[in-house]
Amino acid sequence: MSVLLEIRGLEVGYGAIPVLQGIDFDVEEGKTTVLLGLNGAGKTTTVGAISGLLKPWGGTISFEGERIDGLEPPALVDRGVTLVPEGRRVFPALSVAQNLRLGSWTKRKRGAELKDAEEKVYDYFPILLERRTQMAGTLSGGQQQMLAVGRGLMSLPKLILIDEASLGLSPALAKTVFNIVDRINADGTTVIIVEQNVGVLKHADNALVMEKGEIVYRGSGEELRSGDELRRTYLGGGDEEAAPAVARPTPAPAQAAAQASAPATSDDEPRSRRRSRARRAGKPGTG
Amino acid sequence: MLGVTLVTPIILGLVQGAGFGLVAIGLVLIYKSTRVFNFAAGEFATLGAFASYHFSHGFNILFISIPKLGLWAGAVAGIAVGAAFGLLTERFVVRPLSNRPKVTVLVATAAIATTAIALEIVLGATKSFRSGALVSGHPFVLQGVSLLWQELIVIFVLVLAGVGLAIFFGYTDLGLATLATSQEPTASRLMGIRLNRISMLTWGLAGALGGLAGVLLPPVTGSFFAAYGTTDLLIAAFTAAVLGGMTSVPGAFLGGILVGLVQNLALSNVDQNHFPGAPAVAVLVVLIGVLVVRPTGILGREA
Ligand SMILES: Nc1ncnc2c1ncn2[C@@H]1O[C@H](COP(=O)(O)OP(=O)(O)OP(=O)(O)O)[C@@H](O)[C@H]1O
Ligand SMILES: [Mg+2]
Repeated sequence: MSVLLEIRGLEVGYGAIPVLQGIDFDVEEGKTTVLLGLNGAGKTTTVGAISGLLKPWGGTISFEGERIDGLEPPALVDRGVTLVPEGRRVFPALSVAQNLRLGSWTKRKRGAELKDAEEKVYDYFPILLERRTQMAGTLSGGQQQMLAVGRGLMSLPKLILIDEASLGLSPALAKTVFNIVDRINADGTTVIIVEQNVGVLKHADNALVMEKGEIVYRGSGEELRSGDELRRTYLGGGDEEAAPAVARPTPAPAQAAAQASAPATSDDEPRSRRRSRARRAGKPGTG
Repeated sequence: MLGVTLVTPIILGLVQGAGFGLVAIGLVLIYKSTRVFNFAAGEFATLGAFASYHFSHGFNILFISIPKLGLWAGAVAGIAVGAAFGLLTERFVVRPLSNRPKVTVLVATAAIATTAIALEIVLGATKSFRSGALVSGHPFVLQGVSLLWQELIVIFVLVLAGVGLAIFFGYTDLGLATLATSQEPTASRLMGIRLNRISMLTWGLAGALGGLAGVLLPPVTGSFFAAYGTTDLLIAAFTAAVLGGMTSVPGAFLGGILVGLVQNLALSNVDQNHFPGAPAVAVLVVLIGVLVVRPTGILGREA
């Protein structure tokens, strides 16, 4: 399998505070890669940098063999890199159909392809078809999440990054969304899915675990899922599919700014962790 | 008797209200996209009026000398100058301040208004100017009151602007993107929408609408002068926008007409010797009345 996205020595931060201090990973074409980690681990920061919301401080991001770090979202979406942001961020006073229409903004001239994409989205999420004239702000949280994913798909992505799709959803609904992620992947789109819900592992080819701005584990989804030991080490246990890896006291409100939604004190989890097991990612010099 | 005190103010009210409506729509566009009240909106109109006057009559200011171009070319110049001023405001004031608190941007728009007024005083001292009607004469007479072509044009243009913007926001991708940007800027960026371009579009459009009001209204209402838009249009337009709910284009349209009607009916039916300032009070009463009954404005939703 070829590598679609290659990240080397990626450094990103906010203001003067570094968050990612040189991470490396590859995403294989046609696969689903899950990015796990506790609150504040740097998952949103990672996908934010890939999708052009945050400017990398250093390192490289390559997509289909070409450097894309530093590009703005319009260029990235046009190339096929689309982020479904944390907290859904649907356009509340626009209808479902209008939200989907805007998803294809950079590709709005491609009539026939968009028609197919729209049909596919309604096929994945029949509820959206039913609600297509309803204002997005009046949809339920789960429906808004489906709309956010659907809107992302309308940009005809080659790589779709989904940040915490299961946040605030019931276990059953989270499962539904994950099943559709499987279908999206089976239909040919490479997926990076950010999660705290370990139930996602069943749906992942590859898994990365982040901790304090570093990648502390990488392997197959299956390996991480079946190894109770591994799971406890990195994710603090938790029942598969049912419970999030870490209980969140309050789900981030849908409209809260993604940057503002990361709790600052989540790093000091009291759970004993056997750090020695961590296969820490090598950190080559950054360019 | 009754016919005259109603028909004349109604006609004048519609016409003036249409002018207020144009400026109010500009206020709403900017409020929707930046959540800021644009104090410079009135001066977009005054600059439009000055530009249209000077370009139609020809001028010789500083090193620039322009021959007499006629009323229509002057009108186009007025709209263009309004749009250009809106764009300059966006590029050099609003955009650099985009990460600052809203109140900073608000004060900056007031500073732009005063700068524009200073510029107008340079361009026209403190004189009043009378600009000519684009089309002179009366097409018809209604209940003994003759209607001017220019008055019909103003109303027609407002209707055109309202319908045009309704189509723009409701049925075009660019209009949809403009609405999206005001609702969810981050998601809009992620869709690949360039926020700067949308912002330029909004300010340019608001400037052009102001310029249009400055071109069309003075021939009907009499004259214009430095700060004309701020003294004669801004408060009324602001009231119109608030009446319409501050975020609704059709609401601003209706609000403008309502303010124009109330002002002119009060002006011609209340004895100004006994009750000076009656028009302003009447507008205030209507504003409070509407907001008590419908706190979200006449239409009460974003459109
Ligand atoms: N806008 C910001 N300004 C300053 N620091 C930030 C900002 N956004 C995130 N951070 C910090 O960066 C670190 C990583 O945050 P990030 O949002 O990437 O974590 P996350 O893994 O997505 O967490 P969560 O699961 O809670 O969404 C945190 O320590 C956070 O406090
Ligand atoms: Mg996050």
